Amino acid sequence: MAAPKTDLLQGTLDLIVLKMLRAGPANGWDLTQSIQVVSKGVLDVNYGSLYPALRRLEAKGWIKGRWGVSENNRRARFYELTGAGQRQLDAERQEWDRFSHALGLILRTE
Amino acid sequence: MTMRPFVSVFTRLKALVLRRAADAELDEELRYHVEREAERNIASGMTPAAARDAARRAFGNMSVVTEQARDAMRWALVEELGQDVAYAIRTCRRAPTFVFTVVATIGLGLGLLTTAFTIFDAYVLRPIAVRDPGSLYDMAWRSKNGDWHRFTWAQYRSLKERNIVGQPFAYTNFQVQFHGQPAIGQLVTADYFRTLGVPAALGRTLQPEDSDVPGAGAVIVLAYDTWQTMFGADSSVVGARVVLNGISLRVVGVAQKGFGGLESVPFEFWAPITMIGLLDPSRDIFVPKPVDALRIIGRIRPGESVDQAKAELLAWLRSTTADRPPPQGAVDVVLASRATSIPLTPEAVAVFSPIAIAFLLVMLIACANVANVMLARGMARQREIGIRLAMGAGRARLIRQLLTESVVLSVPSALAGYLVSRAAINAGLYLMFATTPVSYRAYLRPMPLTPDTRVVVFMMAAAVIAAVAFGLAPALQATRPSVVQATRGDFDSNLRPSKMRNGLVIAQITASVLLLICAGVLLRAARSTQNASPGIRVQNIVQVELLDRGRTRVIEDLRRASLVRYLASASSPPLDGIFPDLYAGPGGASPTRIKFNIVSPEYFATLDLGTMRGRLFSVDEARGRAPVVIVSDATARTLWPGRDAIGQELVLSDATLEQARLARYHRATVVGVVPNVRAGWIGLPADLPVVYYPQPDDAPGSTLMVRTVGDAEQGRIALERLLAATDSVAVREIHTGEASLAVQVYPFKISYWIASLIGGIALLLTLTGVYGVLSYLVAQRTREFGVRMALGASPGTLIGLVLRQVVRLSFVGIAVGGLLALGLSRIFGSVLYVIDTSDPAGYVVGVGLVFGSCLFAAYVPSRRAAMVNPVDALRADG
Repeated sequence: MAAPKTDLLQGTLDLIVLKMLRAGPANGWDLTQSIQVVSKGVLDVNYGSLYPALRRLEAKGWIKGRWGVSENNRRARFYELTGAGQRQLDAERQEWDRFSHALGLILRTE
Repeated sequence: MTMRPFVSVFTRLKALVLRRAADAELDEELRYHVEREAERNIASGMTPAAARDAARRAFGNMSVVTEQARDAMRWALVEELGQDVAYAIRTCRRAPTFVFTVVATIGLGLGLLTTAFTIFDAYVLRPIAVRDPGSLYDMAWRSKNGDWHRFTWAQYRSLKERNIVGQPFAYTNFQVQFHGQPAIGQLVTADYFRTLGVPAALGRTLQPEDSDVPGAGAVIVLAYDTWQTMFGADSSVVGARVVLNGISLRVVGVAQKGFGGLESVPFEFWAPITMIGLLDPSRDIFVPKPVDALRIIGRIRPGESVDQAKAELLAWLRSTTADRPPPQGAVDVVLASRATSIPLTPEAVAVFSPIAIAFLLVMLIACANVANVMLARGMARQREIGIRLAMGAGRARLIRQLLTESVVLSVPSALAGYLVSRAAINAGLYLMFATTPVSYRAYLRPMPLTPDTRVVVFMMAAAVIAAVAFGLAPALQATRPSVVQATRGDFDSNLRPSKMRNGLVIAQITASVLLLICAGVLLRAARSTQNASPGIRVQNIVQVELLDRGRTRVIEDLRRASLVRYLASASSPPLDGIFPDLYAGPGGASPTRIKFNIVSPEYFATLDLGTMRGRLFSVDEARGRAPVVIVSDATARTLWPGRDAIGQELVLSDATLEQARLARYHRATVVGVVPNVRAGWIGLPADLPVVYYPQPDDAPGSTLMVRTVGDAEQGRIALERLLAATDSVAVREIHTGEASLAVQVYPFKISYWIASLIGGIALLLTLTGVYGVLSYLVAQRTREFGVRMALGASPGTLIGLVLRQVVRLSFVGIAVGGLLALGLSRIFGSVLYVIDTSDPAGYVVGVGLVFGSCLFAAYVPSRRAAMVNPVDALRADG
């Protein structure tokens, strides 16, 4: 049972999506825009990995998609964070903090 | 938190089931994205076309993204499941004994249950392989005097013209010697095959002109299986001639493979109904006053309800029976579905449900055992589970994982169950043939019991339900410890596993008691029927059914044969089915229902039925069918209490006189009184009123009763040989009295054997259940026993302590089981009048066996408790 090839960013993309959705429901397009804005253009999300990530997160029960009306009055799919997603976000955030802290320690030692 | 697995399971199912819908949603979502991108491009000054192109380029290859998104979704679905399954398989591989116990126990229970279901499926659920079987209905009607009727030829013709039901066809079942073997076929109207939509595998089926007029159509269509076995699948059979009852018929075709008629017996041939007068003159339907012996099946017309058809049929029947005396007029019609061999009616369910419940109980007992084992294992794994809980695993995830373990176990269990059921069916069929008397074996015709989709689905569903049933409770129990307790190693304070285990054992004991009481009651019934005297001589008796053609010559030959001591004829052979009824009484009084038989004078000597008073028939009375009658003792006591029956007159009721063969005996004088007999069936009470009228030895349509000089079985073979030399087709059936009696007792024996087998398996499973629970209990209380021992308790006290536990459990189980059995006996007592359902001996046997076994199962663990070494026990880490 080999896992499908995942790019290195997968874990971080999941984290980013969960974090973005904590602010409230958003659709795929909104997410790409806000990621760009919040990261001040540093992170340019590859659409080709965003939508698979959304599906994966939904299948895991961390986010929930439902059809709604977008601000330009069109049918669009909005995602929101579930309770489980909330907990996952907290857990992953802690994990990330520990990881980045540890990485920082390593990089600082000369 | 607990809701999560269910929500996500639902999402997964939805995603898997509604995949196409999910794909459409994904499409729409991606399109939306590209449109927004294009709009932004336009806003920044591009032309619409360039904006769309740019947007699409920015997005990349759309179909690749779609594919990836779909994969991501699907992969997440199987990922967790895969983890659970892999973990479960790993765990199982580490405990082969545990796996073997579970697979063997469930396999056994499931195998028996599947066996029962396979039989039920073959007879009640499997649709007959014809066109639109659901609209086919079999008809019968009831007259005012309560008798059930089929139809006459005239009625069939009339029904066909009326178009009340679609495409009706008429038929009658027909048994005959065919290539020296008994064969069962049907005489049908030629529209039979067309209505059913059954084509020929070879040649043709019957055509309308085959059954135009009485005597027409000396042709026959063979069943596919008959063609295979009797004719070696020889295709030159079409056009060949076969001889039935001395009548030559031309084979015109072979019916489609898998078609064997509409009943619970596969038929071997079909011939036109118009041949009936030639094939068997005694059953001719084309005579002035025919019996209504034709069965009719037709289709309910599309859009019409069964009740509507019934109402129309009743109106039609009223008009066709208007010329009969009022008691014979039609008052009711019954339509029975012919979609399956046995219609799925409340009656069929009522007959099958006790059997189904018995098999289900065994399955439940097996599940309870496994649940106990799982529970014990869950306790043993508490440390592991506690650690996993401490590491942050959700309870729901753990439960799901334990359940996965059960389901993983259910796969080999289902396989084992399948093998058990195949073995049970093959062994059952083998035993059925092996234990049936030789001369009756050729009449056994079980339906094919091959497993079909329904059986496989049933088995898988039962296996999964069982897996959940035996996995769920232990899973809930095992994951209960809190993290704090688990890390402390303290598991017991918050748990009540003993309660659940005791409940399971009590349930097992209850079910075992119920099943063994049934077995006990059936054993008594089998023994009492086996010991019951039919009231006539059975030894040295051979019963010969003849065709009327050549009857006189056969009788002459038999009379000359040295091995024939006595020879008589009877309209109803005394061991071959219940005698028919008539209504009669002393003149003027209201008629009583009495069983009758028409016999030749030597009947009484042949069967050792000496007169108690009066005399037997004279030869002249027999030849002239004089209006004289011999009555049984019970008849004399019922009709003429306190008076001498000899010389009294027995007057037949008007309705009875409609039967042509009884008309001569309208007012008959009683000439003799003979002892009571069971009127044709061993299950009947011994004192039903029976009367005998006289007929000559060579009366058409009657059966010969021969008393041989030596052994009956050898006599039967000798007679068969002798008669074959006289007339090769004259003998229809020939059986010894002992074989006929054995066949009558057979169903009682079979039900006893099956009940014993089920009860035995249930008891064995319960035994292991009790043993397991008490072993666990003893192991758990080792320290306590050690303390007691140290304080001076004797081994006997400790044994008593453990045994008291099992006595307590079994008392509850036995009380509940016994009460249930009593309740059931109330329900079935009225139906099964042959079986004494409240037979105390049966109850004592059942209860005694279960109680004894429980004590036995408890004894070994209790010995272990008694042998506890106090020092070791106290040192041991509890």
